[in-house]
Amino acid sequence: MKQMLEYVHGDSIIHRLNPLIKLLWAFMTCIACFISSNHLFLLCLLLSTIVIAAAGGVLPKATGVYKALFILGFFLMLFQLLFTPYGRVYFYILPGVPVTDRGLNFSLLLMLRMVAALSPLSLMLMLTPMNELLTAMTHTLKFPYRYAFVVVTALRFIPTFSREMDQIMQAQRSRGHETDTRNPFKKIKVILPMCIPLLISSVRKVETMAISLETRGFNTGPRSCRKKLGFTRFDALAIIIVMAVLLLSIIIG
Amino acid sequence: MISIQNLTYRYDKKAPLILDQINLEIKKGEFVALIGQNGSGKTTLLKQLNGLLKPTSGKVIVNGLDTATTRTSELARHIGYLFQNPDHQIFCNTVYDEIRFGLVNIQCPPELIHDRIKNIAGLLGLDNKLSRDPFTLSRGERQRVALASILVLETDILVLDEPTTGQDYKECIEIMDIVKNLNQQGKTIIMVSHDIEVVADYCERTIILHQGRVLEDDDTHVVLRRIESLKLSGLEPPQIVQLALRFGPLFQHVRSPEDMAEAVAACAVPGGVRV
Amino acid sequence: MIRFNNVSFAYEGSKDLAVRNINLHIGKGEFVGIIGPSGAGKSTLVNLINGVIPHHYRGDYYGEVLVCGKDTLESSCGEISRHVGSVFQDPEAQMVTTVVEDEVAFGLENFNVPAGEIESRITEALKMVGIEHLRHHGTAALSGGQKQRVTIAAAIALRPEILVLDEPTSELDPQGSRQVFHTLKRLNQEYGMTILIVEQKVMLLSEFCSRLMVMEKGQIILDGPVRQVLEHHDKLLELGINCPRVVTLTKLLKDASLYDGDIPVDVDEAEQVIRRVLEGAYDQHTEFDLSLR
Repeated sequence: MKQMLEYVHGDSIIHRLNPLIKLLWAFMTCIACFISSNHLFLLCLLLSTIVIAAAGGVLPKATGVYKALFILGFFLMLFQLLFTPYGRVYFYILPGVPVTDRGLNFSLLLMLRMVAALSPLSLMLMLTPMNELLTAMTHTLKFPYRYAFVVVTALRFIPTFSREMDQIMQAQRSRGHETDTRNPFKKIKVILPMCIPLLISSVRKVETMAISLETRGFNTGPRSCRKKLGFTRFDALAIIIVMAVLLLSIIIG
Repeated sequence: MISIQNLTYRYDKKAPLILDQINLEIKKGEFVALIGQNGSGKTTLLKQLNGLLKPTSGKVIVNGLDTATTRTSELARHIGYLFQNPDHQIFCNTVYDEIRFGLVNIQCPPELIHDRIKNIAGLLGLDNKLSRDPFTLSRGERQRVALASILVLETDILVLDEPTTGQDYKECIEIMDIVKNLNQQGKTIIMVSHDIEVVADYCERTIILHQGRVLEDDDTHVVLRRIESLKLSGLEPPQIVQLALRFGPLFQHVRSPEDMAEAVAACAVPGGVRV
Repeated sequence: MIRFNNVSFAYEGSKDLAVRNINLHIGKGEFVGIIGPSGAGKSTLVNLINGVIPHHYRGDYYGEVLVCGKDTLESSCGEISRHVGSVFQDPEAQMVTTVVEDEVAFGLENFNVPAGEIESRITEALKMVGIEHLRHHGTAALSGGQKQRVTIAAAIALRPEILVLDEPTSELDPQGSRQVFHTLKRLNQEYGMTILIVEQKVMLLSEFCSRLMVMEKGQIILDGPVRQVLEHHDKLLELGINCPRVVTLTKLLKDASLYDGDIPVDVDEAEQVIRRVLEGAYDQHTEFDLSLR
């Protein structure tokens, strides 16, 4: 989970793009996925995200993301198959549960849509340092600094808390606490011994952070901006490509 | 009691080796220190002992059980693991419930639970704190609550991961004295620590891990004089040992300030050895 | 530089005073270590200096704390942080960004330092701490010792005259701890920074600090040059403070009338003590007390 959101340090052409462009790409790809109902188009979009991941040098780490999304997508697909019994029946997956051509068509579409729409969001976080994102949000999009900071810091802390959670789970397992059950009700009971330590740990870290911020002059007045976010011809090219893809999604339908 | 045979471990196929061909035997009643740099594999090795991590190849046998095929919850009956941060374990409203948690997990007969909790609370000086919320206690007291909740499981083996971090010296000694007592009663103790003085004061045997391999494995007072190995692991011998080593063979059996003072006095007798 | 006049403080909701009747003066360029059992009020003392009390923690505040001539009660936490840099125990919780140079720039940006000046200040801070080579590294992959040094660089980028640290090496291994202490020594000796550090590692403090303060139950009970404070060996043991073993050794030698000189603060000095004892004894023909246990 934490790998899906952690920034991967690098100096590729994608890293050097303006963070706003990457944000635009993530959202426009998402929108294009929902506009289009063409399997081939969605597959191409998905492949394009893989190409971008490779160009950014994060493909090894991104495989985890794609795997997770595909698994989720697969379950979505199965679920959808159950609810689309119309059309020509190919075979029966269970007595009374047919797999039809329309069912397969639609559920495959959903799966592709899900992976192609969500992967750019995760990739964007892998390829953009938090600080740049923050600068983009405050200086260009004019978000109030305090709120933008809260969002960015929350994201930055997810990997930290994920690691804490691992430690906590291991500590409780060492006391004989069984964490792997399939039963969803049991699972809730099982989670409690881990949520409280995590909550306490989170509150402590946040308190330390708050104090640390105060001693570094946080929110005492206007802020200067060290890095002016550049706009190169690559950024312009990227915008054109993103917009073209969006247009294509509308045309193809 | 614990037999580690050709143990290697890596997180996944592409990750670097964290443990590399470890072979160790730990007998009943030993008090072993595991030291080394951060990243040498100490904590990873500890986690292999109670099954939190499974070997990539090789075997870890604890009390006759193969950790690869035994669940951690089952191994918890044989090997108690105290984590560095007590706050990673504590979640109940009272100290009593906190200590009870582990007993319920290992399916201890209900009629035995109360007595076991009372006994362990007495041992750790928590008798009058049983009804208190653990988070109203000091860090040292919380460490004792966490220790109590592990000791109450009455395991033969106790594993301690940096038990003295984040506490003042007094609290640290209190815990270590309790642990030493338990060792003298027959418990096997394995401890990871950065504090070389604590290792020198309490542990009989010391193992140095370096880059996933066993660099040294011998009596503590022997290992703590192997400066090159210690240096490689970013460690220094305890102050008194450092001092003793500067005088060559003259103070070779010195381990504590008292030993040193006695040895110095012996040499300082008129007609003694000139250095 | 730092002056406490009859300062007492109780945290909100607590009847007990966390610190009571503190009177102290810390001059420019001092390197002070603060030790004591848990709950002695060490963190409270640090928080009174960097303005966290009273601006973050509320409570009953008595007396006056002057930092660089300014009353901390009347200055904002931001103003105080221009003079006092702070480093805390948990390196993870102090990191706000994902790249080292961004981390160092953070404070500078907060204080609206002109963009053109920021780059040179980052270089300066990294150089002072000795981590220029880490400038473009991601913060997540750094070791504990490196993370704390980045935090120190981020704190000193603002050019404070004073640096306060609250158990910064608590979660670090011995190598990392030494790195931090060497960095602090450099900042103190080469750049004249006044340093106050709360720590449990008395051996390291004895080696690096020039002055030690011992606290117990909210009061400063011992305060002076390191050697002088370490003379009170028995009192320190009583308080549960981990006395350097060479000091314990010297005390035993003194009790046996084998030695009567300065207390050593590290192994080098202790070696000299032993040599003097052995060589001196050779020349004398005195009866020595051998029952040292």
